[in-house]
Amino acid sequence: MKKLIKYRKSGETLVEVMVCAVLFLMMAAVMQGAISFSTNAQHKSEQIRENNAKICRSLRTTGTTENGTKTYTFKATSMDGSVEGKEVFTIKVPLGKKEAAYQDGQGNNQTVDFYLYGPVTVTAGGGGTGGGGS
Amino acid sequence: MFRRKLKNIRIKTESRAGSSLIMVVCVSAFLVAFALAMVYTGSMLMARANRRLEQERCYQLASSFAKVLDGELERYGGRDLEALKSDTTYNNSFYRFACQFLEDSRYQEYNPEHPELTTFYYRHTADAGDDNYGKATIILYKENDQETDVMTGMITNPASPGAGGSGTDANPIETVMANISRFTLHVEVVAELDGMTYSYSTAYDTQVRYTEKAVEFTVDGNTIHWKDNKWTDNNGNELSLEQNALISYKISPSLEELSECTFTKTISEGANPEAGGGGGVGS
Repeated sequence: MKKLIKYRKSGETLVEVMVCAVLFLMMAAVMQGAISFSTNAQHKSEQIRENNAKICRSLRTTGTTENGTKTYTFKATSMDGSVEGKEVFTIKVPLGKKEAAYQDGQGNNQTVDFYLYGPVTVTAGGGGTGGGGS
Repeated sequence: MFRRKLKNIRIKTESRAGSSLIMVVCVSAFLVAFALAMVYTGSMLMARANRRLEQERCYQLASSFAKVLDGELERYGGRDLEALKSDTTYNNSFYRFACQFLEDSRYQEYNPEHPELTTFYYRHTADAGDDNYGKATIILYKENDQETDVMTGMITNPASPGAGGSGTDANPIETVMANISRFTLHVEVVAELDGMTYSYSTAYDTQVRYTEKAVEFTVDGNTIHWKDNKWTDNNGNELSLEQNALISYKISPSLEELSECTFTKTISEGANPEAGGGGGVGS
């Protein structure tokens, strides 16, 4: 009788072990995929961050080139911009462009364009404070 | 007896087998969740690294546009605005609108309890080809920093007595008008590009000067005028006021009577706004 009990117990454990083994293998595969993905992502993000830092450094030292001018007419709006009022003022905006150069991880020279407003050319307004006479 | 024992043992072992499977499924679910968390973290890292450049683009646009507005506000500083009234460029300029914004009581002073009613938004009508420059929104609000009312007050008569109120170079209007500083103007530029926003705000101290028409002088409830270095009544008759007589004045702010307006930059700072609140339309 003891033998029979042992036999039954060990038989069920074997099924469990097999199911566990299959599940374990599946989990191992999933974990392996997840780990390799996150490792790659980390490497890539480090590389991107490094490149971004180079781009930003280059941006600070690069001069602005002119890219034409645009006249923007501004309208009063609601906060989300869904409701528009009438036109209130106009600004003639000089458009500029900066080209940030950097070397990527493989040592290749790359450039990234940044767009901005300016260079600002303030027309020298007539100075003299025109106060009323005494 | 033997059969009953065998049956009990079978029940026990069967129940144990089910619980092991449940445990395995739970552990598997935990591992799957852990793997998904790792994948999610990895993709978040990538996305954040990619967003850095977009953020820089927005920063460049917002800060450079703020500089453009700064130049616009400096353009007519210190100039006689009455002489510019027929100038179309001036009439459509941001400078003139900023002056109007300060003078016009429809643009109420900033109230932290009702920011939606006291903050005003302006957006440009961009062309289709402006994708690289995104959208710029200008947010304006004004704060009154003065503890006392600078638009009303008392002055002492500077004129010599017995000479019909004349005989001195001290112009009471000049005394009253010297550097009226009522508001701090806040100009915030929000640049929006590819779903990313960046705001750059600048605060300006303002100093204005009005024409003589904006000031009303009264003595004992009667309106008097300062003309050709003399005090006169409403009919133009010269008045004789004692020296050091107290004269009340009241300035009625109006864009039409503004003769000079100067904006001085005090603070500028950038931020990544997490938007909130409603919106009021200014016109």
